[in-house]
Amino acid sequence: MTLWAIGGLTALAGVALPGPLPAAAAARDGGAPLFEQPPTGTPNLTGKWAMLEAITHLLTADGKEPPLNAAGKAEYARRQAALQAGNRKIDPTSDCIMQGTPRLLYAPHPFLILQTTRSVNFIHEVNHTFRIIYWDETLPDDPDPNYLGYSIARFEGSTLVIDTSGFNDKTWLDYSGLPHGEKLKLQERYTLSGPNTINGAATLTDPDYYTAPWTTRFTLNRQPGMSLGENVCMDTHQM
Amino acid sequence: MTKRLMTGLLAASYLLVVPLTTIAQEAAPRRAPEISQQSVAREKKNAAEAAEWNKIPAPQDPRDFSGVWWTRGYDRTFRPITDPRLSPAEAARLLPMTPNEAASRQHHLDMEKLGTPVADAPTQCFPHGVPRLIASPYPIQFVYSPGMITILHEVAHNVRYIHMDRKPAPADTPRTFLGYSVGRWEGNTLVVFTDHFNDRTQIDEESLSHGLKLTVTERISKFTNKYGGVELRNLITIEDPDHYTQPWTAERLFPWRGDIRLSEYSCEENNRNAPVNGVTVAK
Repeated sequence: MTLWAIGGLTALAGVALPGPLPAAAAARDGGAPLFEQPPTGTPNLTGKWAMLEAITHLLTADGKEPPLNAAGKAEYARRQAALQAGNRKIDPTSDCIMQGTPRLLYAPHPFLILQTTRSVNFIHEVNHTFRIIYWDETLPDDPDPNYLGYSIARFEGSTLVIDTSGFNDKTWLDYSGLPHGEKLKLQERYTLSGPNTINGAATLTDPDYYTAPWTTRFTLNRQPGMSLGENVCMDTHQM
Repeated sequence: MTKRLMTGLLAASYLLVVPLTTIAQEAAPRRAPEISQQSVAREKKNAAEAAEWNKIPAPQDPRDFSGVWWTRGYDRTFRPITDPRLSPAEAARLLPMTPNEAASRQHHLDMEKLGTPVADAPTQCFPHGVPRLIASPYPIQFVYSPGMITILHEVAHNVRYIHMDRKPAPADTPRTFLGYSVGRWEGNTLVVFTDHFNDRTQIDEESLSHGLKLTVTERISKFTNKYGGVELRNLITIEDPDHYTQPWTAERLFPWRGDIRLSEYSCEENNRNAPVNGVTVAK
């Protein structure tokens, strides 16, 4: 808790958290030394976060509908019609498969960002889904498509930038059913705008269903007092 | 360990049989040189393996487990450890089972023989439970953060949180598949105590059960083997007076794997093991 506050304050001041942890701080953590530290000179996003605003339908940064092409409009209309007719089974998460990114971020559950020497890890309460994202690598040329895609992370100034591709086409972008194909490229940008707030943006490029790349924005808030519970979709069928 | 012991015994019996045949067919007995060639080859393989797995070296600090580890082989059972080591069948006889647990274990074995094993939590894509999860033959990754050590399991994206800054679970803590874990350091050994389990998981994949009174104490420490490979040893003490007449301790080893990363694992898509009426049927 104290460490998060320190991390936030130093991030504000643009100063890195010092590498070796003081002995006193280690003792406060039950004696667990902190071997894993964020890369030198970067803000520390480690902590518990949640999106407090319920976003069920993504809009562009200027509040407009995403630029669906003809195929995108047709697929979206098909899903919307099914949902409005009460057919929940059309939503792939009704079978508890992974939400995919960026939809994971919009689930009404807190998540951890754990920034370490080699990777930044997103660990979501919802259906205990995690992403391990290594720093400064290149994306594979021809990956096997999967739900969460393949991600790489870097800092651009004080902004954490995560690029992802290699998605399968089995997930929705949001709860309303915005579609995407396997060509989707996602760029997430996380900027601390205060010790306890992240300004987030997701830019989506998918020529199969959209006429142009588009960006949607979100805000994350620190939840230091919140515990992550055990959420098992196959048991509760709730995501 | 037991599996590796078995492999060793098999290799030894092979060596005894094959050279004798050779002796019968050929004039000059060559038994001794073949044994040493085999063991040299094995030593070389172990050393090459350790070098490959150390491609990215394991952290040096004895308390730093951060990174990827992967147990060898696939052992579906937990058994009490003994000194000297016993065969799996002998070790099974040392399980301090209550009469009810012995009957339950026999039921599990019988159902498996019939081809309809009793449904284990992972067949329904539920978290595996502890210690059941520790026996899973998939890689794991330790992540350290303030006040917490997180263990990410590739298998069915299980996540364990070890609270380093908290007291054992308050009485009103919900019962869960993976329980509630608190950790502390005893020297360079991470001691993890877990309770508040539900009763919907097994102790091991083969046959052993537990109830709501289960508590698990893990003692995890790091060591370097004679090939220069680094391993975590987890000594797992299982206590449940409703199923076992006394606490007993099993062991798992996890070699460092600097050469691999965790992959995405979706249990939920087309689950081939989904049970019907409480038993798993082959599909």
